[in-house]
Amino acid sequence: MLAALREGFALSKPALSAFSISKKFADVQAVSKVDLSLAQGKCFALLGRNGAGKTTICEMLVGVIAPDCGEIEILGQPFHATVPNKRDLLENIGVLSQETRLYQKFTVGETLSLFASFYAASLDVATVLELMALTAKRNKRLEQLSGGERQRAYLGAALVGDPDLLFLDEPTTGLDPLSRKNVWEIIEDLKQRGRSIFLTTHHMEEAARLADEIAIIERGEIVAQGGPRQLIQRYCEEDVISVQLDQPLPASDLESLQHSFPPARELAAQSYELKTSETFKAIKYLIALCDRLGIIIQSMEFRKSTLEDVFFQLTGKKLP
Amino acid sequence: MKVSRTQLWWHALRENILCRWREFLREPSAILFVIIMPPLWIAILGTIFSPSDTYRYAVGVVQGSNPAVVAALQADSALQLREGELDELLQAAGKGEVLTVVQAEGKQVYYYLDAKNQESMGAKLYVDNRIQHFFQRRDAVPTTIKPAPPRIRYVDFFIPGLLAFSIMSSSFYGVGMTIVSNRRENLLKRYRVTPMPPLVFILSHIIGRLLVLLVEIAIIVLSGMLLFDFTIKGNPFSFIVYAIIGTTTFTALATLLSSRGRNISTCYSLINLITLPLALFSGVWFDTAWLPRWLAAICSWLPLTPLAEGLRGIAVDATSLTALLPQLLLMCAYTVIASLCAKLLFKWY
Repeated sequence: MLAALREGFALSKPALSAFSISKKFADVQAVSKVDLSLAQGKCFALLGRNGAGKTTICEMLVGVIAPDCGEIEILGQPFHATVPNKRDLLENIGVLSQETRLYQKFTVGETLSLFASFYAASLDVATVLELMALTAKRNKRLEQLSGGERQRAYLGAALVGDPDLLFLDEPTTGLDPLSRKNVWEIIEDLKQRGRSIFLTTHHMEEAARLADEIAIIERGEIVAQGGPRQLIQRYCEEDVISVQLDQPLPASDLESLQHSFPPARELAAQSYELKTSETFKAIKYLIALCDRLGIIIQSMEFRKSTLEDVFFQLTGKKLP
Repeated sequence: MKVSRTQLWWHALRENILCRWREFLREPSAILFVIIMPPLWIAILGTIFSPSDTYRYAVGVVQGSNPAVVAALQADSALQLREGELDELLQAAGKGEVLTVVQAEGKQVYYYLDAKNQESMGAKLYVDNRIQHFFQRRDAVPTTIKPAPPRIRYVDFFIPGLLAFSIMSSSFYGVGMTIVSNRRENLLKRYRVTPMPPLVFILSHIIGRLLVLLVEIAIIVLSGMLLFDFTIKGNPFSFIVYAIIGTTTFTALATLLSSRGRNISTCYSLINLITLPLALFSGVWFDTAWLPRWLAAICSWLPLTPLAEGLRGIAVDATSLTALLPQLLLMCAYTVIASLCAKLLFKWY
């Protein structure tokens, strides 16, 4: 059955798609009209602040919460709480949910064996332990593990069924930088093995590093969607130039600067930031301007635009 | 490794049962409830309520009573006399230290006693008979005492009741609390996004409970046997079957109880609220004969009553399962109703 499901499922079909799904809790519109599509073997990141609706979307996608309206397809098949082939579809899904606590008094090995027993084509527990770099911790109880190790054990439970599609709801929240890097490496490894990954995160660097496609979500709505570079190109100029002057620019000159380089802004009294894809032209303009006004440029810095700039541009807020 | 649907089902069930068993073994309070408490109860209550070999009536005799009467009473080994002033002895009677107080002024005898107290009345009758004989009263007809089977010991009454109580509380705490805490930790939700059939999870709770039941029976019956020569007079197989049916009933009730909640302390209070009256009114610790008739009639419909009655019937009176059919039917009715309600109400998250 599963093999047929896998074979019959043409590569062109997305691993996961949602069409206009919405959810309202009491009088709060948690998610409104979200469309998304995850291509096979790719990683899709839903990026947003806490409370933006990421977990609600994730829970709708895995069939735990029913959307008020809209359709969900998993591996090309309609998916909701009561589809008759739900079990077959679940065979192909691995879930790491944010608020779940597995049995803390169980060892890593016992936890993985328990979850492996639910799947027809599960991976060997030893293989998963190795993937998660937990072989040495096999007989340790979850309560005895560090935060990073425990999260890897949970991740192991999500992929012990050898799923094609993984849902990872904030997989690195609360982890220290090293553990976070470990989890990223595991996810990159999974991508290389052709698994499709749906990821929610409020961590820019995580989305930038792992995702092929990013959707930025704010108050239950997707405000922008695309590849990381695409998003930067679409919403920000390539480079960011910051200058520190010895005195403020006169208002009329600031206006003409903003006119020539539209997103230019005053960061503090004598420091300015402008975004541009014509970096040299901007530098020449700045130097000429300062020469003419007799202003000294104390420092000038360049950097590439990041997702953070996109997020700020779109929501006017910074991520935590 | 790829397995068939049926193999998978059994594999998942086995892992889930193992899971229940580990939950039991690794939960210190479960061990306390099931393994340590019952033998302690048996030892303590069995010792307190064991009848002593020589029962003696404690009787107060007022100072200055007819010395001949006092001497006659002193000669009786069934009496334990205490001499003193009337006031002092009445105080002792109030505290239960003496059952009755006797004052013999010449041939006039007075008894001070609480006429509502059966033991006091018994003591008065005994003492009075003794004194009447001393003053030459003769029996109208000859009487002889012959041995009858010994009255049921408290331990024999208590041990089957303790097993019933243990089945109830370990089901409520073991199944009810586990399900509520699994729900609170979103573990039940996590299970719903795996292909594990829900039936496997529920079955694992029932089977897990039966495994714990075996431990409970072994602990309670063995400690009863070792400490107080407790024996199951009826068919031990019937005893076990009856206990299994009772466990299923209480597992169903525990599942119903935990079908919605997410809050551990609410669940804990609810369990206490239910188990305390059941323990008091279902004849677990004490015979319900002391209850008013209308209340006893209501109590006979409580789920713990048929379990305690049946286990006691088999252990003490060698009652057969067929004779316990009404009790069995009542328990089955509880099982079916609780299961159906639980199925309707149960929320995984």
